[in-house]
Amino acid sequence: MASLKQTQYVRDAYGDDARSTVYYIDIRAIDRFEDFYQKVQRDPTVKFVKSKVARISLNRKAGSLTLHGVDTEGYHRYAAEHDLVVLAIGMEPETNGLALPDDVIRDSSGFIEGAADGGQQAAGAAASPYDVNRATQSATAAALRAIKVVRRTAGAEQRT
Amino acid sequence: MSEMRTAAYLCSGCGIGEKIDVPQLAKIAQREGKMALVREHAFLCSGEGVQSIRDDLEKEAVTHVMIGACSRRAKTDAFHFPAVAMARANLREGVLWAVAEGGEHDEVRQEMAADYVRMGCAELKKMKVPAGNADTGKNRRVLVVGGGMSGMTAALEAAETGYDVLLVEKEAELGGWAAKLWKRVPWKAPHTEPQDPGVAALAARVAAHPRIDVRLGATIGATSGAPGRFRVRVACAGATRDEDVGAIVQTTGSALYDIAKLPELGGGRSPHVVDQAGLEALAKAANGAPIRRADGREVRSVAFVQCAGQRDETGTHLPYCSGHCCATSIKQAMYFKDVNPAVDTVVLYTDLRAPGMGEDFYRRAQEKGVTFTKGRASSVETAEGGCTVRFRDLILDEDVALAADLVVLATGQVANAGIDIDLADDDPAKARQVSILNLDYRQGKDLPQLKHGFSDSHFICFPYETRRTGIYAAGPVRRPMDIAQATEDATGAVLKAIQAIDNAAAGRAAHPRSGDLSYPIVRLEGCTQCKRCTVECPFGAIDEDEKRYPVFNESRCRRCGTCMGACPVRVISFENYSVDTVGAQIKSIDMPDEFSEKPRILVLACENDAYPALDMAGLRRRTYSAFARVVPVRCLGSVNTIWLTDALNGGWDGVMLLGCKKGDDYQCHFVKGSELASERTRKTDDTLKQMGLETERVATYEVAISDIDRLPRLIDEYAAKIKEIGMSPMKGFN
Repeated sequence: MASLKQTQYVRDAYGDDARSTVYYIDIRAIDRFEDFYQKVQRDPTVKFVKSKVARISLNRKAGSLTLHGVDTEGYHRYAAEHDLVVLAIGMEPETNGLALPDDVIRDSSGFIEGAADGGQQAAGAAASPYDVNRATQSATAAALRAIKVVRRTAGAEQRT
Repeated sequence: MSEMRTAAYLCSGCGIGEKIDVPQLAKIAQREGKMALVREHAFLCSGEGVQSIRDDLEKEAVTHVMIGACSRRAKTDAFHFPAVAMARANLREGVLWAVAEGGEHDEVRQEMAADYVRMGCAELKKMKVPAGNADTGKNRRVLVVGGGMSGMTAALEAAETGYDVLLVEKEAELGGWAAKLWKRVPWKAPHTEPQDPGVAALAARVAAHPRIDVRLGATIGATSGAPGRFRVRVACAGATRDEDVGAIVQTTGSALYDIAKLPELGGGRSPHVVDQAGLEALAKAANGAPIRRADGREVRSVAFVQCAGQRDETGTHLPYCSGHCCATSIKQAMYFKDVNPAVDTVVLYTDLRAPGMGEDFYRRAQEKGVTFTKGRASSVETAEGGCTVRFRDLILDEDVALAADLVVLATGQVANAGIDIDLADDDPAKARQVSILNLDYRQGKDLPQLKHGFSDSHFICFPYETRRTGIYAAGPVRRPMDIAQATEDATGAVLKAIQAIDNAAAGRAAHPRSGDLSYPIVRLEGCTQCKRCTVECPFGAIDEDEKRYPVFNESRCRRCGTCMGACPVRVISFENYSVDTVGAQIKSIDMPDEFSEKPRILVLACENDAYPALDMAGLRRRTYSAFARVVPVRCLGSVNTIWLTDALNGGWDGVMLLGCKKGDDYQCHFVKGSELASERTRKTDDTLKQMGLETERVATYEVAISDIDRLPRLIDEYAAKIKEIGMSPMKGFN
């Protein structure tokens, strides 16, 4: 989605002269983001190529970059020239590499699922590679869970 | 409150005193602003400076405070005097940092500062301290409508946080969509195998919780009231009962898009073409044994057609992606592979959408031998023996036919959102819809829908905010989503519900003016029953009585002032924000004459995005024309056109209205405010022509909070435009 958005930055800057190509495996425009995806697909300045790029080489003379690979839709080999290449690398939790308390549960990529007793939680991109919308959703839920823990604990302490 | 006693405090800190003649401002505050007390301070937000204000409040009985220092958005902790009315003149971000440096700008800089002091004093004298709404509801119970996974989660989360819950479910059992599932998509590590849906366990916890009152086979006959005092008529087993609740969480889920609308894909034409619910039913019936078709034959090959009737660009079917269906088909393919790896399972997709840890699940399916083919299905032919799926293989770039015993169409989610209140009353689609909440609100029976029939509201910034305060949608009724997301969503909606309850009890506004104690006060004797306020309120806060006078429900109100902007006879106001508080500012400035070459541009800036962006522009020293005078407004929707005519009659040379983006991807914090404002100002073109003025003298702009560099440029361009069309001929008449 971020790449789709960034193609429109190029469009805003260069108008009809803009040329963007998105090399992708699957475009994951869930929900009404599909509207945006369709809008970008209709944009003649943006091209979509279903391909995992195999190699990028520097074309010193032209000062450009050449992307090599195979367009898997129809198996066409390509060597495409671009001025700029943006790598849409993924998200990693900031907590990777940090020592966290022993009872914190992490998934296979290090995102935090929580803790067994509910006393520690993660929200947003610490919990899963969320977009902004889902991050706010996650944060809102986490806030309620935190309030719940505090109220229960406070209640328990009052009773004892 | 006793009589008004005013005081102005002028700060020369942060460099204000070096560039601006503060003693001159003090004289203006005294002579023109008519402030009873005027004090200068070198560092007003310091402990000692704040104490000096406090001393005056106590010893001098000051009731109204004008602070000429930094922006009203800065130092709010220091300048926090809730017992008195307060206005702020923005001398730091708005003048010192906004006007270009250099001696040649000294004169216009000083004039700008002086006007802001005049405006601050004028505003202050029209303000009152909000007394707070005495008519608040104190009910703290949460109503949850819909007992699926979202509803049960919401009920438990609310109950475990200490709130009583009334859970209403129209079916005879809890569980909703999830109860129909054989297994669900894994939602925690290791994200590899389908999991038990856990419906029974969750339903048992709900039933056992002492704070949760469950009504099965029940519907809502009527809903009235406001946050903290909703009254709900629950119809259950032929009887109705009125229940009082403080807030409502609507978790009414979704239905599957009707498979019969896809006859070209075999939908509705053969029992061997099913939707995802149909496959779940077959899997449940098999109960772990090989899955059999309706005719009893064991399924040896199955094709899943993704995006069936979804992501449609022709306008016939659903235009959006329901998000969960890729993972659901992966899960369903595993149903076959886990029992018999020899079953052929092919998933036809165009984009496989399994974000996050869904990728682990996708990979696991590939390991199990599920075939994923990038292809676009064109038709499904059905015969007694089996089906033939014809599709374009997008990888091989050729047309392919695939035989399958069973075809599963992954159709999308259609929200159970009730009545689309924006449809015309005579629209046949509206007649077919059944209301869920049966609100007795003037604007309609259910939550407004944003797009594609979902009860979403503020899509980008505040996903939980609906346009009916105290009623929050969660789960797939709000936007398409899977179970994991729906339960997370329900948990968040409970937070909003308890915020609404707490705010209502205290008479405070909910988001985005959280904590505001002011609310609309209407002078009914002047009201002409024109109904504009009741129609235009973005939050449906205003009803009508039998004589068609507006009835304000303060706890539903978000204090945007759209009603105030709408009112043609100007009888609606807030104690601290009114036609007069802004009108007085417009009239207060020192208007240079026609030959001065010093135009005056009134900038009415939305306090949510435009005003903060201007402050930030100041912070970054992005300077703009010193001819501008910026007045923050709660929302462009609150702008009453009298301000525009007053300004133009008073000799202002131009008016800029800065508000948020409107339309489908709106960013207006009050949803409809900026849209209404643009409609209203379009009508001012005629007024301008009647006055013999150029239509460019009123201009509306859509501005985002990130437009920090663009905004100063817009102001400068507008100032240049005014220079081009010339000074207003209206100067000196008033």
